Amino acid sequence: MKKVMKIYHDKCTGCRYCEIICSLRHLKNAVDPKQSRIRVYQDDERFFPIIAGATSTQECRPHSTVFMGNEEFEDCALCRASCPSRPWFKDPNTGKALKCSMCGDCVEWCPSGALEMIQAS
Amino acid sequence: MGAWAGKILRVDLTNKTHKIEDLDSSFAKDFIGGQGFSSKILYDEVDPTIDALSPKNKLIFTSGALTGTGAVSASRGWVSAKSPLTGTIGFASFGGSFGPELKFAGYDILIVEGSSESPVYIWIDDDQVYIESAAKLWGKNTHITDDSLKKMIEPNSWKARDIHVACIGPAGENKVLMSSVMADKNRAAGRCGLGAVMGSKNLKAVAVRGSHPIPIGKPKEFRYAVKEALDRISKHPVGGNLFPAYGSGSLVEAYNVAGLVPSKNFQHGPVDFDKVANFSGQVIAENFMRRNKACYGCPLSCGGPCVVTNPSFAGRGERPEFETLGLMGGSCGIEQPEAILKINFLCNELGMDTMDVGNTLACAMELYEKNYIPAKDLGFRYLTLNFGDALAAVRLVEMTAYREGFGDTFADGGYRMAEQYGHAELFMGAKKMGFPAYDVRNAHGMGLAVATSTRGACHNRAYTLAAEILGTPVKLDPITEDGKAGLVYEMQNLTAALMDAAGICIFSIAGGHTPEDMYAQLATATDVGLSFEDCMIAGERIWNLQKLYNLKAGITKKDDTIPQRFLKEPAEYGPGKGTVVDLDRMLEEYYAIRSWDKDGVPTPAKLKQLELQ
Repeated sequence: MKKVMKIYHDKCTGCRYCEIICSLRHLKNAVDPKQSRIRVYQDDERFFPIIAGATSTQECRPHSTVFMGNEEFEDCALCRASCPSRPWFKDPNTGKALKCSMCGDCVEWCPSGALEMIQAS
Repeated sequence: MGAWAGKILRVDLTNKTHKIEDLDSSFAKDFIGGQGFSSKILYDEVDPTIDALSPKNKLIFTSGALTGTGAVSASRGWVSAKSPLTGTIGFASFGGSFGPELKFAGYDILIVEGSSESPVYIWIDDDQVYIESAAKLWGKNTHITDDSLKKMIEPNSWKARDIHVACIGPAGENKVLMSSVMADKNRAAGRCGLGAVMGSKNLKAVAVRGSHPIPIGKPKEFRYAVKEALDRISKHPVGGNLFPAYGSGSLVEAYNVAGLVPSKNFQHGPVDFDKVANFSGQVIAENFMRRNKACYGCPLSCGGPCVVTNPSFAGRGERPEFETLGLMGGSCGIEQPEAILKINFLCNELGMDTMDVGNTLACAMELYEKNYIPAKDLGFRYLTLNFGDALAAVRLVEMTAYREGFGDTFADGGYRMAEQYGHAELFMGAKKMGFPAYDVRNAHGMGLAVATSTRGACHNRAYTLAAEILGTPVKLDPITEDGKAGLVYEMQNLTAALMDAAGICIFSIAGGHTPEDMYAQLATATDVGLSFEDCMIAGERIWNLQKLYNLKAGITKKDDTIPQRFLKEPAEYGPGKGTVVDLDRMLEEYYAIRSWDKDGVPTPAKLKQLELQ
């Protein structure tokens, strides 16, 4: 049995509670969404919670465009990697990659029900 | 100290310098944050008698004590200055992520002094503060300014995502007295015309990004307090269900039944039921909204991107909230939801307050229908300005932002416009600022709350309807003056401290966020030993300070009033049918409860008790 995070992106409202509680858990006595291991990709009308995944020391080149349904997303919008292309999922002091520990706090705190933890065999 | 960022940033636009000061811990404890901080700074540093649009005025951005900590609905950032619209102390707040980001950059307070000769923007990147030319942004609307500014200062689009911008649109640049400061494109610090103050300083925008974590005093207890509040709201019928689905506009129908939604500049009320069904939050959500959108750390998610395709009113933006719907739909009689959405989009893009625009429009419509405004003054070739004339309303909003033609008169606010045409009594407002969309003859306590609000007509300083209509924490009879003075007094202090100073959005109280929950979060996020009583005294202190400021600005008892329509013309509909508001009686009781004298001047004993002397 393995824990798997299921994301209902159409339910996400961009309130960033997942980022808040993740940073509070890992920083212990402070809140900083930029140090969170889950980030919400957002533009005006779309929100996607992205969980820190694999680590890459290299940038992807060339960047590609992602299509989901009829919608187009900028290059690495939905990528989970900690990599040089963007400032996400990195410890600001050491530069080390931050990885999700699957503790489930963000699932418990998400007010809109966009996150769910399921058991997969 | 916990929760507070601990620094004050002072930017002098005249000399293009800045300095960073430390936040004093006793100051933080006495005034908590947000509007409390800015009221004290205005009282100490800005002469109440100055012209609000002169360089002597100071524009102050503040964050609440809980803003950014993750406390429920704690996203508010405040903009304060002496108001050019009302002449009183001025403050307005926005949600979004600007307030939290200011704290991540390390500042509780940003004070902007002086004025620049040419357009500039301020860019705050942690300790780095830049004052740069905004020549390329001047004249642009708020949405384009937001996007362009991020591109200008940060070529890396991923790093640009963490930048948050508060800016003015053309209305603020043209010193329209009902202009707003817009954050994150659609979150408005609308009231008091503070966009005009920003415009008078030639300050187009403030951009901020920060990397400092916000410290939490007692993390374990804080976590518990926040979770408890979140759970309570998720089970509450309004907070857990109605607001996320339909926004604050969900209250339109319920408030119409209670006789509160105005009709035709508050001449009648309530609106016919089949008409209200046209512009309620439910209709907006079902027909125009694409998804929900929340401010930082808020479970209510009352925002939502909307698209209108009807060619006459085509546009995109966010859904209007209750006041916009009530004033445009009810008071101006504009029943097409597309038109209300279009006006809402335009106000956000051009940077204007939908409430003042709504009241000024309704006032202009009544003046026009009664032939006090001659048709030739409007300069329309084909359009009329009767109640419900949506196309004329949309056109007038555009003209106002650029002060074109009649828009120049309109831009100075409804009171000045009505006065110019000799009928100031037809402007529904208090202290020259527009009325909320509540016919207070059907909720008398709200009448007192609006009359005594320090920043001009405002429902959010003491949301008495929570008790009078919604029944939280107790249900009171709305059609009586009994006990309302005490209710307003308590709610004003509570709101000032636990919401306006703490940075919690007042909408959350309708959604089941209790003052006890708010206090528990404030007490655990900070660790300076704030007791509940300390908070209430801080609220009273803030309130008295604002009152003192207004008295020095020449705003006295005669200004603590509401339009004659509510005092003389009995309500035609609703549970309050046949009644008027007995304001004199409530005001007398209210002054007594506040320990103010008969003219509403705080007594020396009271000021001594609040440590204000």
